[in-house]
Order: sequence, then C-alpha cells, then structure tokens
Amino acid sequence: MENNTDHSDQNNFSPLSVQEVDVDFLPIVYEIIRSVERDFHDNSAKARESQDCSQKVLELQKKFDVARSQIKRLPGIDYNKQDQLKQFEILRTQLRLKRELLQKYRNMCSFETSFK
Amino acid sequence: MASHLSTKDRLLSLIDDIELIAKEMIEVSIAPKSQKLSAADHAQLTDLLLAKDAELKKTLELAEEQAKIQQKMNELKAEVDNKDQDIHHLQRQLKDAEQILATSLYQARQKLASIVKSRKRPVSSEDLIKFAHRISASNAVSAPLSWQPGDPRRPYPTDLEMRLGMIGRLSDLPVNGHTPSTLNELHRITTGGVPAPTTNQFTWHPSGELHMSVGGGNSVAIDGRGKDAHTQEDVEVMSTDSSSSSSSDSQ
Repeated sequence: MENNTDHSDQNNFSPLSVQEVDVDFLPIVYEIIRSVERDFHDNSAKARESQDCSQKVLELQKKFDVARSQIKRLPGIDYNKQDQLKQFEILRTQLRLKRELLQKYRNMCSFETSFK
Repeated sequence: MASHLSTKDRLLSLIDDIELIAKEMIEVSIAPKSQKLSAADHAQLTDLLLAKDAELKKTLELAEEQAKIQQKMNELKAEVDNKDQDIHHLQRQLKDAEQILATSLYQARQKLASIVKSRKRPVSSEDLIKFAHRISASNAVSAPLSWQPGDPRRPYPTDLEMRLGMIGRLSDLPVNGHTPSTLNELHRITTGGVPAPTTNQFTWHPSGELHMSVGGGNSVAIDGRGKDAHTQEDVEVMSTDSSSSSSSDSQ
C-alpha cells in the first residue's frame, strides 16, 4: 500500500486501476478506537499509547487524502454508468455512420453517362 | 442515492461520509463519560460506517466496470478518428477530381460551342486560301524574296495606311490649314529627316474626302465621294496595290 502511495505521488495524472486505490479505512478506525478505550494503569504506557493514537489519526487523515487523489485519477468515472453507456452508444453510432459513409464513397457510381 | 451524480462524485462523497463518521466515532470515544453516546447510538454509528464502507466498495466495483467501458470507448474513439482521417482523405481526393472534371468540362463546352458556331457559318477552304492569297499579295506579311532597296513592296504600312491610324488622325485635329505642315513634320520624323516632296500634299480626312493643299494652306477637295463604303473600297485597293505608295518611300 505504501508503495502505491509513493507511486501516486510521483505521477499524479496517470490513470489508475481500481485495485490500486486504497480504501481500507476500517482497520485504522478500529485500532484508534481500541487504543482510546484501552485502560492503562501505567502512566508512561498511557502516554505512549496516546502518541501512537494521534499518529494513527494522522495516518487515517493521510489515507483519506490519498484515497481522494487516487479516485480523481480513476478512468471513466466522470459520468455515471447510464450516461457513460449513452456516450458509448453515441460513439458506436458515429463509427457505424462513418463506416457507411466510407462505403458509400467507395461504391460511388464512377460516372453517369446519361448526358447527351 | 442520486443517480445523476457522476461515479467520481459519489466515491468522493462516500469518502467524505466515512471520514465524518470515523471522526465522530473517535471524538465520542475520547469524550468524557457524561457526553458519551448510548450503546445503541454507537452501534448505529458503527452500522452506518460499515454500510458506507460497503457502499464504497460496491461503487468501486462499478468504477471498475466503467473503466472497462472507458477502455472500449477509447478504442472506439481511436477507430472513429481513423475513419475520420480516411473520410477527409477521400473527400480531398473527390474535391480534386471534381476540380479537374469541372475544368475539362468547361473546356469541352467551349470546344462544343465553337464547333456549333463553325457549323452554322461554314467557310470553305477555297475561300480561306483565296483570302490568304489576297493578304499576301500586298506583301503585308513579308517582303518578296527578290526585295531590293527602293522596292515599294514591303510588309510595313504604306503612307496612306499610316495616315488612317491614330497618329494620322491626330494631325487632323487642328485647323485644316495647318494639317499639311503637321503631316509633313510627322512624315519627316518617320522617314528619318527626308523632307516630303511636293507631290505628297494629299491629306486624308476622317470624312473620307481627299484634299490637296494649295499655296497658302487652303485645301481643295478633289474627290467628292463621301460615302464610307466607297472610301473603304478605295483604301483596300490602294493598300493592296503596292504601286500606290508615296514617292518619298521609294527614295
């Protein structure tokens, strides 16, 4: 995951696949809550846990930011699926029409010798 | 879920939601016990977080599908661009062909028109040859092979023909009395300083009358024919007849 993050920092505009997006927030949230709710008798251990906890909160915050920037690099999600399918259909129609036009040009009657 | 939102916006808003819920849960957990939520509320918040996370995963699957569609669309776009280039190429060729055809059609029409014109008014080759003979008989095209200095037959205009031209007519513009002297001057320039002899005192007027200057510059009409047709005939005869040139030329 860290490698992915470094990679994304290097090129912020290249398209990314969905598998590369890191959205595993729940484990960190769980760890933060668990460490907050844990009771410590030893003060030094409590202070260390508190430091770890704030570290994890920062990590979570960073994870959210990275996930946002990764999502912005995902291809093909500028429209919802219906609109995307419509666009796809439009492109297919365009291609069909262009093919027909080319065919028409190619099969064009070479010369009409009807004039007298 | 608002279906009009783009998948990207949905994903981003889901992340915002998860961030908000997570923060809320962390804040609640570190809050003093008096401000803590009840277990039911906490469970509800946890459920919401889980639901949002599940929705995020589901939307990411949708994003994956859309990425595949996007890939297909890119291929389609490339193909469409390719066809576009083909079409442009073909259109340019057709335009060129049209241009060439239009030009040749225009030329062919011109040719047809001249064919029709020539069919309406046929000219026999005999007439053409006769006319050619008439032109060359006056040595107007080239001097005869046996031409010698002093030979009046030559391919440049005769004095009379010169007088019919623009320069000759210019000299007619002033008062009649001055005309002969002006003409003489003109003649002197054209013949290289040789003064015009006394015989060259005929003045050609646009009216077609031939005048002869007498003494003090008064001109007397010696040919009363004023009709253009006769004049034209006269000129033709004079020009074709090589002996009609002025004596100054023969010197």
